[in-house]
Amino acid sequence: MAQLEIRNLHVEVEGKEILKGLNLDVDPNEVHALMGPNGNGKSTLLAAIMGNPKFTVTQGSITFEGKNVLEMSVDERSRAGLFLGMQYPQEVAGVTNSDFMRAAINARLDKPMPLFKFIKEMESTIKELQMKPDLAHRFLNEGFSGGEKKRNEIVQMKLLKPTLAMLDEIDSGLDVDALKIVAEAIVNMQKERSMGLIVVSHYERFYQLIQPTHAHVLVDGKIVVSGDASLVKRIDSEGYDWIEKEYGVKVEEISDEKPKTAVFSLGSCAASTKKGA
Amino acid sequence: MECQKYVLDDGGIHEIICSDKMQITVSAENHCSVYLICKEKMDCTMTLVVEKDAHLNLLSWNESEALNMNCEIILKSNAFLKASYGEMSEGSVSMKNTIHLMGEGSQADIRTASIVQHQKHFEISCIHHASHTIGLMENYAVIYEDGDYKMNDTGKIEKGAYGSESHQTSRVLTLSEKQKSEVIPLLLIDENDVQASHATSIGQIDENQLYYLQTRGLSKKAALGLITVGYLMPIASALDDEKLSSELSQKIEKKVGLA
Repeated sequence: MAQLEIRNLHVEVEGKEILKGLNLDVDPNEVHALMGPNGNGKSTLLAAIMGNPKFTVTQGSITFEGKNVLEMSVDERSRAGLFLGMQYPQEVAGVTNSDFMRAAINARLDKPMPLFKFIKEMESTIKELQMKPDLAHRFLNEGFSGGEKKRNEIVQMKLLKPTLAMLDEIDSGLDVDALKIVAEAIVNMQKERSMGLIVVSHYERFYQLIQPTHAHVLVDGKIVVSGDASLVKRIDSEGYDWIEKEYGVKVEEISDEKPKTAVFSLGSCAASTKKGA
Repeated sequence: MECQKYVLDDGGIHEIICSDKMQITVSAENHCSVYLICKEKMDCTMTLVVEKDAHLNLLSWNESEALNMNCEIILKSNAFLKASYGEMSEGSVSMKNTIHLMGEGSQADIRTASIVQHQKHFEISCIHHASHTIGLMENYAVIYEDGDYKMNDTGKIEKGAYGSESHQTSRVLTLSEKQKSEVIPLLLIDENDVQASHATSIGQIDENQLYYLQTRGLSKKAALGLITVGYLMPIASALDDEKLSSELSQKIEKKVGLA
């Protein structure tokens, strides 16, 4: 049995079926590249594994280290060793990065980590990702540039030490130098901890740095082709057209994969009154 | 009933226990801090005078099960008051607080941070009687089930108080369907050469924020607590005293279910 085992997974978002019977196995030390045109279900798969409440699993199973993931809450999945580095990390005003990370680390320990040890670990991780030292005291992602948000996801991954990490377009928004720093941090951690990885990216350059052991193409809610790193190369040079011909599936880009973000509403400038939530 | 009188003419932090009737005067040119604690259920009438060129940093911390407070504050010329109200008791509060900016160049920064589980009603008015006066009001509140929050915030600039500023901000976070919150900011302005603004928001916790914190292993309760603490925590460090800050921080963490 694989560490992460996904069988016949069907997932709906707002009543629309996005994943239509997906199978995937991931074991420690494996790096899986997940490719496919936008809107075909890559982000949906990662969100469903993590337990995003907006995504409903209607059929199939997900097990992690033999445990039924679908019965676990989001935070239980995290504490079980799953991590999702997000495409659009949330901004949370009023909560500092260090308070957040300390709470998250302590949530998985029997005894809280000594403050001094935590500070040292956080500082060295911030340094490794070459972020500004004041990161710890800034509010979580608030006012961060796109690239800073992505680096901060990796800071969090390093501190939380997951067994299996999923990275959703973690390379977008990063310039060439930042891409190298982030990729290096990911690879180091993957090797050190024999971590399993599922990576979604559109860029061959990033895959070159990450060096996937497996590659999959997701089309219309199913994995249509699986292979090794050579698949990434072929798609980079030839696109997805050949898959259409060889596998007889229609490959379409479906727009609007970006989740709608709810905005904390500011009432009008005059009197506000509210009953109920 | 006898009035408790305090005349503060030396620096440092003065700890004062709230009584039924009290009068606090900060002598001219003196800079000091007051930590005012209310422990018992009471009706309190307070007069606070900050004399010419004096600075007062006031932190009022309420732990009483029911507090009815009526407070008149008078600021003389170039007096400065920073007043922070930590209203985190489980009980009810009715507070009327009127700040008179009597002297030219005086300034009042008023901040409230409230946890509301029962009825907490506030009526805070800042009246600009003299020119070049500044009144800032900031309110942060977290409303739990059965909470009933009301904030009437008034900035009044009288004729002749030119060059004055009045600004109000209120942020209310509602955590339950069963609650009531109302914020009424009011600006009454009788002078042309002034600056004034108000901003209010009342809203629930952002589901996306909650999910994000949960994906890092925080339970829903802990995630809620962390976001809530962000609203309230600045009040804990209102006075420049590390021991008190950490003591109050711990109390706030406990109240929102973090500790």
